[in-house]
Amino acid sequence: MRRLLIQRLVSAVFVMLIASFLSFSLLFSAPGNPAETILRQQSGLDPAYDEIELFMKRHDLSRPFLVQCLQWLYLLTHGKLGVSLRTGEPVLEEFTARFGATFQLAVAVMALSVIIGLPIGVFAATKPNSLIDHIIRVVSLAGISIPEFWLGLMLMLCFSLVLGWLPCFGHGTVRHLVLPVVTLAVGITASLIRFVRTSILEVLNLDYIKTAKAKGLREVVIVWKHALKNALIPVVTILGTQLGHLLAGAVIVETVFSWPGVGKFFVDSIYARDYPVIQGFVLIIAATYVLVNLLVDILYVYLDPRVRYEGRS
Amino acid sequence: MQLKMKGYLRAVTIALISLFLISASAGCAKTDDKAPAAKGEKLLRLGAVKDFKEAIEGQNLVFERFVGVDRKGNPVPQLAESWDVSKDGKIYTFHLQKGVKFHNGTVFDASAAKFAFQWIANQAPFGSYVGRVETPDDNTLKLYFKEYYAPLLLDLASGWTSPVICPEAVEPVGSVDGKLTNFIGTGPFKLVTYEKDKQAVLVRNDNYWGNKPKVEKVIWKTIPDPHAQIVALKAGEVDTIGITEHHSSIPYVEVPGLRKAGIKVEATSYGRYQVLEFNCQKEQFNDKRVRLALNLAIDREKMVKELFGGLPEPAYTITAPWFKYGPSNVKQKYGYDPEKAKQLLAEAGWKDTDGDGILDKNGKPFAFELLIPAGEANADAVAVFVQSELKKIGVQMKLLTLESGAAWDRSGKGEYDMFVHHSFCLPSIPGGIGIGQKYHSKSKSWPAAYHAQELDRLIEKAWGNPDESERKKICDEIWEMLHQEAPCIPLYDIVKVVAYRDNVSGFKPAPTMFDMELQYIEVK
Repeated sequence: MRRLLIQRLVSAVFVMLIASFLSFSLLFSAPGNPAETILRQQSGLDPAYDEIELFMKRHDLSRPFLVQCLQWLYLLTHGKLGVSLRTGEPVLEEFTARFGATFQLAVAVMALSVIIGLPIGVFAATKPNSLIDHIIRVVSLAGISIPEFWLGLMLMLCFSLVLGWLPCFGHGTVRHLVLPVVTLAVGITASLIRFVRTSILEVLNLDYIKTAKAKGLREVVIVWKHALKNALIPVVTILGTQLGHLLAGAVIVETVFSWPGVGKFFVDSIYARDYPVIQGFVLIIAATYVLVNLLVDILYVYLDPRVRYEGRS
Repeated sequence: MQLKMKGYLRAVTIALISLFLISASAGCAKTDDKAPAAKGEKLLRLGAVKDFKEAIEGQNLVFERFVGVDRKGNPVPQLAESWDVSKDGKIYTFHLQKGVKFHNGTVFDASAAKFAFQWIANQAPFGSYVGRVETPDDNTLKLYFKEYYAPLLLDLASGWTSPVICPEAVEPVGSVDGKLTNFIGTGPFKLVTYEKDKQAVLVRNDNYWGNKPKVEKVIWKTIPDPHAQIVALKAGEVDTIGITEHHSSIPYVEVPGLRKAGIKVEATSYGRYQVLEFNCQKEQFNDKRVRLALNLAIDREKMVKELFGGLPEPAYTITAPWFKYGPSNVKQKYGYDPEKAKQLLAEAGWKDTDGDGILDKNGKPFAFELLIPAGEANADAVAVFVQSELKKIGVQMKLLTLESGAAWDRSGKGEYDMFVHHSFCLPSIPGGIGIGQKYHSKSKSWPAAYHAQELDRLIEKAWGNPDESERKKICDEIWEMLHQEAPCIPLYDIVKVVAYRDNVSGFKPAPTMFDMELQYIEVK
């Protein structure tokens, strides 16, 4: 286990560095100049040439690509991620100021999806091709297909405008959490249901289930204890990537519900060619991905005792 | 191993669950900001697209400027009560308002003004023109310029480059190249709390020297999505939307629906036009008859009626004629005359020889591409309309939408046929006829816009000397020349749309699209 941790942490450092280097070089070579874009966005006017020059000079933007990379690495070794070109604030502060909201949303969405999706998926698998199974499949297909922005606006119209039960924007109370969580959870729950269903169906055909049945175990025990645990491995993998996605920010839902998370800020920074923010955020987001995947790997051991990381090497 | 593993897992699960509970309960503990205002408190809630600190409109509530500008472009007093300019235009003497204090109690006197000016000059484009700055007495600021710089007062009227900040507002305190860290100004509102991407709370500055606001408190709420803004307004979660934007955030098509729902909607013109800019270096558009023909081929009246329900006015001059230096005396205005358009194209040698409905010349069909920067308001609808209008005279326009940064990159390199954008407005020199602006050949953003030596000479003459009556005459010449050359197709006046609930009264449009005049607003 310790070996796994060390391996992962070492590779994590490389993953993070490569990811942020790649994103920087892609954006650097993409058309568009940060100085011009940011000045135009902020002032709403065509920036004068002098203004652009001044901005470039103040932010060391006219230096060559490699020099800028090395500068950034140098800062990184001192524990700094630089300063946002757009807001003038340190990148780390920009991230931490918003990550709380993103984390809250991600965890709530995952919790809700698992609580609802898992039992329904298992239930559907126990009654394959029955009427209820068909209904669940159709509904979950619809759930996957609904675009988030549309669902969000519809929920907003219904619950904020017509019924007046919930606030349509903002962040802070549990009431604010409801609509964005539901909007995001619909798609994730739906795909989870379908995944759990297929996964359990596969497991139910295996020999050890037959043995369990032959032993005379109750179906509830067979499905929920013996089958589910085995079926969960692919499910957990999927959930891991989804959690990773959510922690990187849910741009559309954040925009529709004015949720002050990392996603929208990140995308705005890409439009503005705000290099330090992009590099810094990619670095941190890559780290959360690695971390979530590590958690998933650890979960495997619990779910399937045959998985032993020591034995493999 | 497995036992150990279970221990791990349990710890992780417990940690995650408790984190979730903490975050959720932390959310609960905060006061509900939907709670009604304290009894009798006059609170105005603004729904804004941008974060408070990222929007000039927000900054302008806290910071004032030395001078302001009226709708037409005349400088008006703000923190400078009056000013004298030397005959050669190189010495400005500002007589400062007396009895003004910053929000933290610091007195706004000549030394504070000197700091603020130097801080501004340090990052403004006119900084390199500034020589000495003197404070002959407590209420006078004297600026010596190395060279004459015509748009100085306009630049000083811009909240973006020229906010008058307090010496304590920057880090390190009093440093002219310090970073603005505290929002301490002299404006009608003081910033109390600010949460990134969420909201800012401002209270009335009871010591404000000017017209005191009627509302006591303003909450700036960030709602990036325009449709969510409309829902929030209808649901009563904000009192007004659109007022915080310089580019109209409310889609024009939503206006009738808002009015039907009992929401008041005001549309104000700031003389900012949406225009299609020709690339005059391309062979097709190198001929002024062609440019004029395309200008005459578009029925703008029908366009604003069909696309926007008649909300904005169609535009027939390059920029609004009512600007101080606007095209008020031009003889050649554009209109709708497809027959003349066809005739002009024929004169220029464009004829449909192969009968495919598309004009051609030397075997090449008249086809080109309109470049649309993504996010340019209404541009998609307008582009399709223009496309169908041009097709009627046998010109084929293709559409290309690019992410805005990439689109502007192409504009800067002159790699486009036609480009849709919105024209310059106050507090910059309207219409792009300043030195280094769109129609000056030294423009970096517009190397392929219409340029001519004679035009450059006129532009440099207009802004190179301080005689204002002379300048108006030269600007008239510039506009006459530009309108005959038809360097762009002005389409319509981009109005700023403000919507508010019936509990709000006293709305008054601000002189520029970057300001809000909240002083007169009352909330019931």
